[in-house]
Amino acid sequence: MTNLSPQDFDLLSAHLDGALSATEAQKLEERLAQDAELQREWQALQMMVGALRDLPLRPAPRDFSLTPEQVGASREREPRRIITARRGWFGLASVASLLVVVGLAILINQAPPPDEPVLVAVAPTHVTDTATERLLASPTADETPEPLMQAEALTDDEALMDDEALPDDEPPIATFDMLEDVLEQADLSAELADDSLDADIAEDIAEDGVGAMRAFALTPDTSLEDEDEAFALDAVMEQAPSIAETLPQAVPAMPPASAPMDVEGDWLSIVLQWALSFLRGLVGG
Amino acid sequence: MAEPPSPTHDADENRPESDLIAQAQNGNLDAFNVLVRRYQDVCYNLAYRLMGDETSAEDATQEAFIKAYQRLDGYRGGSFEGWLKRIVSNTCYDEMRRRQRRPIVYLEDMVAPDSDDEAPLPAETPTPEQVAQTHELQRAIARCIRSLTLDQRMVLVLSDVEGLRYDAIAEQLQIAQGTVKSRLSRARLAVRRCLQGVSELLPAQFRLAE
Repeated sequence: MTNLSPQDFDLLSAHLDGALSATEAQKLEERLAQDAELQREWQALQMMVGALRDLPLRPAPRDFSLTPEQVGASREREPRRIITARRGWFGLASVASLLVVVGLAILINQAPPPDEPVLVAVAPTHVTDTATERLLASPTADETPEPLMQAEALTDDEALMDDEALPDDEPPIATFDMLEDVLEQADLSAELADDSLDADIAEDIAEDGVGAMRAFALTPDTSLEDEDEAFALDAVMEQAPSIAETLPQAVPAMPPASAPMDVEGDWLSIVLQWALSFLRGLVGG
Repeated sequence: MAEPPSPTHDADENRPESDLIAQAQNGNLDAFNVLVRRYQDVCYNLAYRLMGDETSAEDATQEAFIKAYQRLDGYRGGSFEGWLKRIVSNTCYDEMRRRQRRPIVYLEDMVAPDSDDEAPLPAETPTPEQVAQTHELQRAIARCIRSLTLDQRMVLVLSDVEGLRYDAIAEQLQIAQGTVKSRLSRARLAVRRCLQGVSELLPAQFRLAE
C-alpha cells in the first residue's frame, strides 16, 4: 500500500485542481522533485483523473422527447394535500385568519362605531371567495362595481350602523368578547402544538388580524413537508371542529330581525357558512 | 393567441436555442423537444455515470426533462445545458438518496470491452499498449467507483467526469467549496486505493508499492 498520508493526498488533489496558493504549490513542487513516492502518487493521480475525464460519451439509448401525456401525467402525479402549506405556518395563518374573518363579521353585526369603516373593508377584500362576492352584492351595498368601495358603502349604510335595531333588553350576541373568545381558541390551539415557534406564530397571527389576512392572501400553494410542523398544524386542526360547532349557535340566536338586521343576518350567515365549509374542508381533508 | 404553425422538423432542429427556450417557456412542447433532442446525449451520459445502470439512468433522464419543462420559468439565462445538467444531477441524487442503495450496475459498463465505437481515442496517436492500458484503467476505475459514498460519487463525477469547478459544484450541491475540495480528495483517494488492488494490468504507477 502507498504510504502517502491523506493530508499529502489532499495537497496533490488540490494541486491537480489548481486550488493551492502559489506558496503551497511551490513547496509541493519542491517535495515532488525530491520524494519519489510522492512523485509516483502524483503521476498516478494525474493518470486516474485523466482517465475519468476521457471516459467515452454514453449516448442516449432512445429519444427522450416528451409527449403531452407525459407532461400532463407528471403534473397529476405531483403530490397534493388539502393543506399544502409550507412549514405549517400557512395552515396556522389560514385558521387564524379565518377566525379573524368570522370575528370581524360578528363584530360588524354588532354595529361598530361609524368611524371604523376601514376595518370592515379589509376583511372582505382579502377573501376571494364566492361568499364574499355574494356578500358584496348585498342589497345594502351601493351599486359601485369596485369591491372595496362596496364594502365601504356597506359600512356607511345608516341602517347597518343603527344601534336602535338591537332590542335594549336582549344581550348582544356578538361582541368583542366573542371575538376575543375566538382568538383565544386560536391561541389555545397554538399552545397545544408541540412547537414553540409555530405557537408564537399563531399567537402573533391571532393578535394581528390584518396581518393574518395578508398572510392568508400572500401564502399560496406551498408544501407542508416537516412532520413536526404538520403535527403543530394538526393540533390546530383538531380544535377547528369545536370552534366550528360553536359558530352556528350565533346565527339562530340573532335578535329578532328588523329590516336592517335581516340584511346583516344574511351577511353574517354567508360568512359563517363559508367559514364552516372551510373548516370542515380542512378537518375532513 | 394561437401558436404559429409548427415548422418542419429539420427547421426546428436548426432554430436558435434562445428562440426555442422562449417558445418552450410559452408552453410550446415541440420547441422544448428540440432542446431535448439537442441535449439528451449529454444528459443521459451524466445520469448514467451517476446512477450506474441504464434503466435507472433512463428513468432519471426522462424525469429530469419533465421537471425541466415544468420549471422552465425558473431558467434565468446562462448555459441551458448547464441548467439541464443541474436538474439531471439533482434528480439522480434525489433518486439515489431515496433508494439508499448502490447502483446495481456500476460505471464499468460505461467502458464496454466489446464496444469498439466507445473505445476512447486520445487525440495524440497512442501506442497499442497505451490504448490497452487506458482502456483497462477506465474499467478498473469504473469498478472502484462502487466503493464511493453517494456524496463522494456526486463530487467525483461532477468534477472529474463533467469537469465542473469547485464553485459550480458547491453551488449545485449546496455545500461549501471547502467541502467540495475535501470530499473530492477523499473520493479520489478511495478510488486510488481501490486501484491498487486491481493493478496487474494497470500502468506501473498504480501497482502496489513493495
